[in-house]
Amino acid sequence: MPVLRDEARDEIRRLPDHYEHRQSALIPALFVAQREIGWLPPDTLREVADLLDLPSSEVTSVASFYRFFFLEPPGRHLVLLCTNLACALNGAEHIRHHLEARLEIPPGQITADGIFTFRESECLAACYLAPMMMVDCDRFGPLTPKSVDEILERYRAR
Amino acid sequence: MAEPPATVTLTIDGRAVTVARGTTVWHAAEQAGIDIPIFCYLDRMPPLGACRQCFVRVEKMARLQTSCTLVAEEGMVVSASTPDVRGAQERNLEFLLINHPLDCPICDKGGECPLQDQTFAYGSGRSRFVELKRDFAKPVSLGSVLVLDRERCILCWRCVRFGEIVAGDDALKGFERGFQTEINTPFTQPVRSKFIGNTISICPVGALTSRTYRFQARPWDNDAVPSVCNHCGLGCTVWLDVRDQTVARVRPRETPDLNDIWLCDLGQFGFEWLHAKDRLTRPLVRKNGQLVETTWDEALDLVAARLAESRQRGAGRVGVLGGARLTNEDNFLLRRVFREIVGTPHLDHRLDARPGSASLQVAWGLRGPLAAIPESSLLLLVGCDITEEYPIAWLRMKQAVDHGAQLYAIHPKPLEIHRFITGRLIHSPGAEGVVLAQIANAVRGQKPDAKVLQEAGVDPAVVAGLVARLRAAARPMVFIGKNALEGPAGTTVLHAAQRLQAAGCMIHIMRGKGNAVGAALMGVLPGPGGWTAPEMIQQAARGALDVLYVLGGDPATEVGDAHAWAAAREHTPLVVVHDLFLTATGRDADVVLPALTYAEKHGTVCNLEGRVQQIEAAVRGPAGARGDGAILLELAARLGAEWSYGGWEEIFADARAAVPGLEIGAFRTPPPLQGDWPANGALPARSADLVLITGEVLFDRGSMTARSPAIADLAGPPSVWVHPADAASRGLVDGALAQLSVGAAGLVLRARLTEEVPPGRVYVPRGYDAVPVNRLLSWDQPLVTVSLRAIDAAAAAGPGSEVAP
Ligand code: SF4
Ligand code: SF4
Ligand code: FES
Repeated sequence: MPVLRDEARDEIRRLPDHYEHRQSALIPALFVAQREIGWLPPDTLREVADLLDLPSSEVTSVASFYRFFFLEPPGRHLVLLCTNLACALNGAEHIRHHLEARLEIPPGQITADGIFTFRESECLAACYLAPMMMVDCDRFGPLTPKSVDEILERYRAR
Repeated sequence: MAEPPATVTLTIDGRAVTVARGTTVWHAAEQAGIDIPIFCYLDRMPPLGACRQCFVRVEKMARLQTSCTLVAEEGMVVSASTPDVRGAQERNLEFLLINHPLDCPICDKGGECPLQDQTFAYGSGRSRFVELKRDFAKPVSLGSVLVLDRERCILCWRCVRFGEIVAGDDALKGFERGFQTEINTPFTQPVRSKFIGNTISICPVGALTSRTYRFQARPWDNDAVPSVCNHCGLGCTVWLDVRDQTVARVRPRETPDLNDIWLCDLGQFGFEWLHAKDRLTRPLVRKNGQLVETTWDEALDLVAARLAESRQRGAGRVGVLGGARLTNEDNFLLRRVFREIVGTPHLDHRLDARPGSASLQVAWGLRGPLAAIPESSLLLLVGCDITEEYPIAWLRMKQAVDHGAQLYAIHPKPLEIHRFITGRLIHSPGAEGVVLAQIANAVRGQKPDAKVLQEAGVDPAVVAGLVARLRAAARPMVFIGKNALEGPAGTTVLHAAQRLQAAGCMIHIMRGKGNAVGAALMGVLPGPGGWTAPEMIQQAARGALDVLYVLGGDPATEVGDAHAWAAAREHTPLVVVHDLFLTATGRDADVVLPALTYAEKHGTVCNLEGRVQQIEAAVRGPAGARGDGAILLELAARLGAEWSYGGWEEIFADARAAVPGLEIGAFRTPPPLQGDWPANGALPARSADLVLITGEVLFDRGSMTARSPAIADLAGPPSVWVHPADAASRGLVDGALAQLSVGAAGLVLRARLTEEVPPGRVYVPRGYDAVPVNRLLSWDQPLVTVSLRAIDAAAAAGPGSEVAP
């Protein structure tokens, strides 16, 4: 049974036209579905699979690979802390401990108040900001415990 | 420009090796007998280069190279055993073992594990990893047959790629990423596959194991006996691994041009029935209305006496049904006993055919080898649900599709392989003849009638595409299945198929299970003046037979009209059954003789290609049961024949004298279509009611599969597939009980809501012995309309209804 609106279904159906392989439309299609529902429930993953004529196992596998997709309802904001090489060398570990203490959760979870989903991430293409994190679509760095606290406060209010 | 030479010569470990251009260094080493360890590479799939175990040093190349991906070049100097290579192999193993639990003593793979073997051969024997290992809750159950121990996985991706490349079912995938990557199904749901057993055989560690074999035996406990799967008719070659007179598991036995190294899950996991507790061990005879145990002598004397009596009353008052579950030798004796001694021409193994159906008018089988399928550029399925009926043939079709072949399907419902089908021709029930006739005419230059095609439910544009491709295709093949042959348009289909054959198509008749082709070759078919199976059943109902002799078949559930069989039974004084279990037919029979299975017999069988293969007895079978051939010889002796056969080889030798070309390993390919079949251009009347379509499914609950817990579980409860729109208008929800009725006859089934069946139709899988759909079918009425309604469980136990579990 379709969950997505007809407009979104049409949008997804048109996506493969832009690519040589149908598979290439998968990530944009997942973004469309997530935009609609806020996250990617199993039924929605199946629906995307049907719309693109791809195996639903493949759709789920890809969705689980990328940190921007949610297989469970997320918090209001997404905090992605880069722990890749440049950030690691510049103290990402220290920032991770700080975030864990402030948010009171380990990476991979949602804060008790439902405001933040906190995840570790591979490189976010902003090594010049190392150690850096991304909150929703904005990048921040070089981070210090103090700047982290300020950033969290700002988003908590939104 | 000059063509480059067809071969290249390189040096590996100082040895000159000449190989075909394009060969990888790993294969070149293999050809030279040099062992290079691998994990991710499997020569049935393209190389991936994931595990890094196959490193070699190549002169003039800066870093170590993965030999599985590296193509050999002229003059390359390769070393596979220098200290740097050995060191890399050793370190790689050390890394793989960091997260590996090394629980070999309780791991099923122990003793046949590439990781174990290669650690022994190439590892250092020590680990520097002193930290805590990864620890997962274990094991993860992935459905009825597959079990996953995640921490043993070395992420070689073989199992994932098998689903993508070989089976096309994408059953297993990697989830999460990096260090956290794990193999699984989406949300750890039961795996959906017909081939998942193969991932167990190719997993190079003990991460994937089988529920049926888990903790049952060690490889060195088992005796491997070569045999042939007896389920679907393709006759895949298997090893029966026997421990203590018990088949502990079934494994693929490599035959490159047949099943290669694969098996379907029915073949791999559908064997536990061999050792079912309710195997028959004593002959039964009916006394005062009850079946009671008796001695072999009494039972055989009685049957022989009644056959002799009938012979005295005149020839042709005995009918023989069955043979597909027997060996060639058994079938040869069957024919001899009944044709030569009893003197009846009424023998037929095709007991599930409809009177006058197209199945009865054509030889069954493939007209060319299975291995030729990938060479075809166009495959057309007509009423043939290939993954449900002949799964290993699908793997060949998948190869053809990967080579660029186009696949078309003419079927009354979508097939599960729909992603691979170029043109779906989902027609209204009974219209397959008209659709194929239009296609055959169009190939010969006639313009297809778009209006007729639309009325038949198919898209004329898809037909036009198919016709254009058929004209241009290399080795086009048409696979005609049971649904088309047994349907109302069967002869129209054959008529059209013959015209396609004249236009260059190879026509395969995809019909028959087990050793059906062997039974036909041995002559278990109507002789001169003999009746076909359905004719026998009709004649028996008129009292024309004294004895009906049934072997290894269950007409009560298999005949496509339960009432016709019931009438035959009622009006035949003596019904004799050979079987393993007390089937529905057996329960109503007068004599039931306990028989042996294929795993308990020596002999030969033929598959759908007409390939003659030998099987060996792996286990003794229950004391008291006897082989069908042995039973027939006892009867022959009691009827005065003085035959002496010293063993199956002597029977086979006699059979060879009667059937030219019958040699082990040879092919007795059936001839091309040749016949004069009437064509009927009329479309069946449209119906406003729900039309019932039925079909074979791989996993069912028949007499063997119901006794194989893994298969019965995969099959699930008896169900009726309903389109969500039809379900909604009837207040049916998924999984609810539904009453399906035709007149007074009704069945209670679980509703399965799915778009895999078009609106206006319902689909009921055959092969559920407890709820046989043939109760709703009638020979007089090839298209059945049904009524369907939701019921509550309490009301379900009415007369004529059986409640699904
Ligand atoms: S489960 Fe086995 S076959 Fe699959 S990736 Fe892991 S080790 Fe390889
Ligand atoms: S494809 Fe047929 S013969 Fe082969 S393993 Fe499966 S059931 Fe047996
Ligand atoms: S076998 Fe070559 S990289 Fe795995």
